[in-house]
Amino acid sequence: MRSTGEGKRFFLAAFMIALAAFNTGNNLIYLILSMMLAIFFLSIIVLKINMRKLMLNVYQDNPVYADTPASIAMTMANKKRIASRSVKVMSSGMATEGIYFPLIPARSEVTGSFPVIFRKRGIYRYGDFLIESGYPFIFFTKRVFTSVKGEIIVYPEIKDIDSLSLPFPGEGHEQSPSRIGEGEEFTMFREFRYGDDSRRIHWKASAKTNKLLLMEYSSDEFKKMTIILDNLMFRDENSFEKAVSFAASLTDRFLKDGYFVRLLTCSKVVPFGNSTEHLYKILDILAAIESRDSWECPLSVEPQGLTILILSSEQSLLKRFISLSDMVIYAHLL
Amino acid sequence: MLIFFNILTFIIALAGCISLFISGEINPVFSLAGAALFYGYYRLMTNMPQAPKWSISMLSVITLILFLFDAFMVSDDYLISVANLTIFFQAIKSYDLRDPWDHLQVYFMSLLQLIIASEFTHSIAFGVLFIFFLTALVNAIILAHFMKAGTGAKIPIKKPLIYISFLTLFVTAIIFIAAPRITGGLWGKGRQKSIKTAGFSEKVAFGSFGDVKLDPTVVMRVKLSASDKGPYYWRGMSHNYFDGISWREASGGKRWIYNRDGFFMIRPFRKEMAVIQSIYLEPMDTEVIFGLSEVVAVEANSRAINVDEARAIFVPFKKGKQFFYTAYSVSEAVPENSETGFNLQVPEGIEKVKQLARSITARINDDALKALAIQRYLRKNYIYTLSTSEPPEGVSPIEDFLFNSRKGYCEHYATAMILMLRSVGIPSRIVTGFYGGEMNAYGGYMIVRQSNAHSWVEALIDKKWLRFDPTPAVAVDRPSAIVMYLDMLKMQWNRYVVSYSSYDQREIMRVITMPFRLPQMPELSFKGFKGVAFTAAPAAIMLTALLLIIFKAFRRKRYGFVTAQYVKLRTYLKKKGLKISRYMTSEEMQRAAAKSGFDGNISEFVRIYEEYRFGNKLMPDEENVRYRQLLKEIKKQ
Repeated sequence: MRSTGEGKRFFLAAFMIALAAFNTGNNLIYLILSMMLAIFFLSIIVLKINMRKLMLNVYQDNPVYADTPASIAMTMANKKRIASRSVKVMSSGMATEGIYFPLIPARSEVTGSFPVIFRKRGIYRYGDFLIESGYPFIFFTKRVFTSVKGEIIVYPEIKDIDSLSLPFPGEGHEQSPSRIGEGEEFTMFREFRYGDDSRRIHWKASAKTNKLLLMEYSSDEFKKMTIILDNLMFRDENSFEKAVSFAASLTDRFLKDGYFVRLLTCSKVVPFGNSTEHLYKILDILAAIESRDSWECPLSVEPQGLTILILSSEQSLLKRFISLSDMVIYAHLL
Repeated sequence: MLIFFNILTFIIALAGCISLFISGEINPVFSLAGAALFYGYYRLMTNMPQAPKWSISMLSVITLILFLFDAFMVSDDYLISVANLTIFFQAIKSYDLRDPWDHLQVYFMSLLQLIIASEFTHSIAFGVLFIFFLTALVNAIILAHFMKAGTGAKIPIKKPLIYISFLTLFVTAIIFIAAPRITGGLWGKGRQKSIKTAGFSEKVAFGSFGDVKLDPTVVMRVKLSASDKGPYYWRGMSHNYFDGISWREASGGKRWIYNRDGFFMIRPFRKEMAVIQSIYLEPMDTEVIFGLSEVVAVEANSRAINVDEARAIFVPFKKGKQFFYTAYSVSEAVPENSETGFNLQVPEGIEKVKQLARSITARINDDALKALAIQRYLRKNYIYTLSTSEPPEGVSPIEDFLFNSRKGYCEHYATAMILMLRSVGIPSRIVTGFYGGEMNAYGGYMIVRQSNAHSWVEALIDKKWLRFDPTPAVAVDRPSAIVMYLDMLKMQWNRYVVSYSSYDQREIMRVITMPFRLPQMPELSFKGFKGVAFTAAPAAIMLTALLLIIFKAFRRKRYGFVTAQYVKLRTYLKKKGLKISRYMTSEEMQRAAAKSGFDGNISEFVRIYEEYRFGNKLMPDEENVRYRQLLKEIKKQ
């Protein structure tokens, strides 16, 4: 518990009044002094009670991306029989002003979200939180330190890569979703031709048009994309971060377009997939990936679908994959 | 919330200014400045813009110049000038309330106004204002807290405001009752106005009672033990020498009676025969205290009293202060063995008075009957009035009363009787005090006012001083029930707040500790060895605390906070029996602690210590809290 500026002034005034009371023996000054001491006393007692039996729970309710405003959810439980008021929770590690709970009713809990901005991707500990209050008056503040266990994953920043106007090879042509094949997804009707399987005739549509119409399905040969991220010997940390962010942005963009995306790095590999879970699987890897000071990369690539290679520099060890790639991006140019 | 906060600030400012106003010491012109408050707060509450800074600064400078002018030329009293200054500043501040700190300045100013007012008035109105002030202050500070926290949102806060206000009142009362007091203060001099009395000084000018008998101011309130039915003659002082114009006490000598317990025996008596009077005396311009004749003992919060030869009782340093005491009186007359002294003295040129006295008592031999005859003669043949005129030049006031005007009040009657008694050889003296009073049914006590001031006669007959009152009875108006009820509240306020003393604290302690037979709480005083001891003890504690704070600050300065905390941990571990030497490294200490079962907090503590002790960087606030917390947690193990 520490006194505030106002508290110090109030205390000084009380001290002067105490001197006046002793000097004059005037009971009315004793009365005023008693009031000031009572306010002091209650400041301490009520504040202590206010801070008792408060339990903090912190959790991540939405994905958090680097350099992007996000929120951390927080639950403050009050286990005592009287309400707590004016409680502020601050994090020592996160760049934020904290969250203010004006009222936490007795034997209940309140939730709030905690605005945060992480400048860098990575895995962060929730770490140390400060629960602070000065209620009921303005003369003291009490801070209780609490360490919250658990981690928060900060994904790389997802950027709008369309604004970069990169000519992604093959996009919208040979791998267009309208390709006809033996897949499950209905694409269009066409007139029956000799040799077609009669089981695929759509009789209802044929009756309406007086023509034999056949149902066509899309091809089962999925749109595929391979992202090869070089994570060796990045001299410039900033370029590496840009490369990681670019890989994440590519993943997000092409998964949205229905591609099956895989990520290949020198340390981790994520096979093809196309789902929200798959996006976060790749983002999990990208959140924690580090540039390795090594000349070894056991990666071997069998080209499948569109392949984009993100290299640290022209001298990168992974330049051997250039010939397999549809597109090569140098991180320092991003 | 903001509007409520502004209203509370207004109430606090107003309470401060009104407290000064009711003290009656403030110059009305200066009081008018306080009226500007209303417009200032009206502007604030209607969200009108606050006055520009330059105008506030200019007005403040003008006010300071006015203050100097007031202090040296108008009021000629620094405290009154400061009071006037605060009213001006309150008015100026009401146009410059921008943030919560401005509001706090208003609260501090009002606090100062209340303190100044408390020096001038002890009225119950002050108590009412104080309760308003306290409630508004508590509420305002709570709201200020929320404003400071940055929430203007509507929060359900009514209940805590009510609870905390009541709690503050309650704790204030407890602290007020328990706070240690020094009887009479140190060097401070009360500035409260004393009631100007007549008849209670060494020399009393004839005719001085006329004015005070028109004054309804309450001078004392008396709770009587049930045994006495009156008449109530509240004896104060007596005078024995009359020079034709004034009375004075010519006997001289006073006897001092000391008692640390506050019980002063004037002469032995049987307690069961005594009429006990609990008397609450308003501040008077005399050291005399009063009681029913004959006061034989006094219980008071004083170290000493003195009693003169005519048994008038004086309490030193009482002048100008509210005073509470208990008087024990017996109705039997006191035997007098000493010489009659000046009690037969008469001024020159009162031959007609002597003749009259002889003619009234011509056929009576017994002194007592003579006295009764004179008393009867005066009561029957003269008219009681307070509107008397000056006697013609060359005629003494008594001769004028007896032979010309035949009208007068108690002083005329008593002086005339004494001169007549002395003329026929009966020693006598004039006694001043109060007669009668109104019984207040609400509080079960008597109210004695200035208008009850009275003088009567004591005559030495058969070696006993007997009381005679030649003044005829006068009908008096009874105050209304509401006046009586308000007076009862005033009485309670005076008794339990204004006159509350270390004596009462001792009484409370005595009652509380009775079942445990603990020693009584001693009085805090600078007199005597006990007083020194009880003053020295808290002083020693305060000095030790101060030294500890200085030592702590010094240690922190010497080592810096980070190392000081580390040294604390080392000392703690040593106390716990670990073999820790000052030459051990932090790592060695950590290992030793781990072996003794201390958990990981020590390793984190040591990590922070090393980081900030040797890392050449400042410890941020959050880390500071964590560092302290870790030490606390380690100590809890």
